[in-house]
Amino acid sequence: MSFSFKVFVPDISNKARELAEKFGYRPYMIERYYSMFGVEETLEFLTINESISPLAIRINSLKTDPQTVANSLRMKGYQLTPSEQIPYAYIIEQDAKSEEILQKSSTSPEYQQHGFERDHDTLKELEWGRPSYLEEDYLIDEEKRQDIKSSQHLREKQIATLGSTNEYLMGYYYIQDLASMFPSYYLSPQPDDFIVDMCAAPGGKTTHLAQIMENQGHIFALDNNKKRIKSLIYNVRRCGIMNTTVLLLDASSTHKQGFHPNKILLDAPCTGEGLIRDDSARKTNKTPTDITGMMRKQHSLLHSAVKSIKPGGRIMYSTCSIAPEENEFVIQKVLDSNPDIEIVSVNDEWGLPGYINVFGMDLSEDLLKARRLFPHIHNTIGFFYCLLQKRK
Amino acid sequence: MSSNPAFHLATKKQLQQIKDSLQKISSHIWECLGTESINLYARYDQYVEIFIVPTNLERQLRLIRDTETLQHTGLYFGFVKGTEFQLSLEGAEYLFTTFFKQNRIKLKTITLTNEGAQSFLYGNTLKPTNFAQAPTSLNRKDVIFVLNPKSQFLGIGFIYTRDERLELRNLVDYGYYIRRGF
Repeated sequence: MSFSFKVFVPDISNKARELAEKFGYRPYMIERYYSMFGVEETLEFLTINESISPLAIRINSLKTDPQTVANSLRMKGYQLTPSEQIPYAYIIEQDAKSEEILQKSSTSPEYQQHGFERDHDTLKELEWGRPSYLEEDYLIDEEKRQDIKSSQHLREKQIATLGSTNEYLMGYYYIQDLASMFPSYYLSPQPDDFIVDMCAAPGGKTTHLAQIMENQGHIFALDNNKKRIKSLIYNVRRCGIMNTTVLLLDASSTHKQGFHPNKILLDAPCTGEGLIRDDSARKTNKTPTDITGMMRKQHSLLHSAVKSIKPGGRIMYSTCSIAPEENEFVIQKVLDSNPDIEIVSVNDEWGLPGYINVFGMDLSEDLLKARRLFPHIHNTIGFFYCLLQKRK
Repeated sequence: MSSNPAFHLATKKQLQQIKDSLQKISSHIWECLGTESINLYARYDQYVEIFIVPTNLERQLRLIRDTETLQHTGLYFGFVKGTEFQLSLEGAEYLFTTFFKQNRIKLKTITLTNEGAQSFLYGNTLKPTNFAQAPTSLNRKDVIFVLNPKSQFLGIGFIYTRDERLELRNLVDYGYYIRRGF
């Protein structure tokens, strides 16, 4: 079967229109969710998307030990729960006390005492590169707009609070959604690896790779955006990373650079449909055309990764989109044209398997080895990742 | 690498400038650097940036065809401004962790009170009341390695006098990048 870059746009039922109006989505999205989840689960998905996702931190074991930092943050009033999946990651619980911290101020106790000015743009940079909402993109009523602003504001407060502690400044932890930690973790980097991180800014996954590699081996961190690459360099420096080279490069040209790494991380640019919990603008600011554009870009990047990787090497592909077109379909297209590429299982029993039959398409059963995280099931952002290997 | 690289091994002149500046901070730093499996590289930007590059990175660095694309590698050690080498935050922490904590070099350090440590991380200038422990002799323009009460490295500052009173002026600390808006 040959895949085209075509997006599934179903006929829209009245029920889907009603839900779309109630929750502020484009109607075609609801109909797509019906196809993916069924009616009941769609409602669960839409409901959880009305709440922001829990913040998580990854403690930087290159600079400190996780227990010390966790205790220090607890002393400041944060309630931390260790992640069951990643040993040095903690979920920041939203209990009464942490709500109180947020209500009192948008910043840490240190900030309150000695604060400096930090503008909205800086906060966005801190937010591990999630694109911000654009007000002009809204096509919804004023009341909804206020709700969204309030939710955004709350999240900014959370980020500002955790992003202004002494421990944060000293590079002892990184604010990162739990789901975003999985690609680096399950790529299983080793201290003697040569890894290319293809779309690396602002550096959450790069610094995580370096942490697991114990600052050994070599990472080439690529990004082609001059502004974002500053955040990447800042995070690499702040976290005490020494094994990383940052290159201003268009990652789709990786195969033309003469690099042949044994591992590649490709956290591909995407429509971010999995981020609706934290960025409500995504309910309306993307269209099927955007998905098509992203599919092409993702395929081009993955194609470049496949050409670059050493025989026997592994590629971790991930996105924060839940759209099958940006995930399973991209993988399937690469599998179809590259018989030397296979999907490898990861040892993650938490995530759900990838789709093998969705939107009327039958896909390779190997895609069951891919993993999906959903807000209404895993209480994370929506996320997809899949580990590929080039046969020797 | 290309024939006219924007990134290369530091020149003899640059190495001398670095050596001269480090000598003012503490003797033996240069000798200690010589014992490590590292090389110093120069990259041309607004100033000449100096990087500490572990030798095991060099094989892959040679794969880079267009050195203009290289923005950062290894550890950012500092930059040469005019004829003077200025130590970066990370460079200072490297010296502190790799050599000072191993008793291989001596450095002038100031340990701050908790209050002082927090204030320093927000870029502020500190008064002696914020010092928990300071060297017996402090001279104007001394480069000082600044620590919190847990002896963790916070940044570097220098001593200056105002109205005949000593103050610790913040040169760079871990809040720097956030304040700059990166």
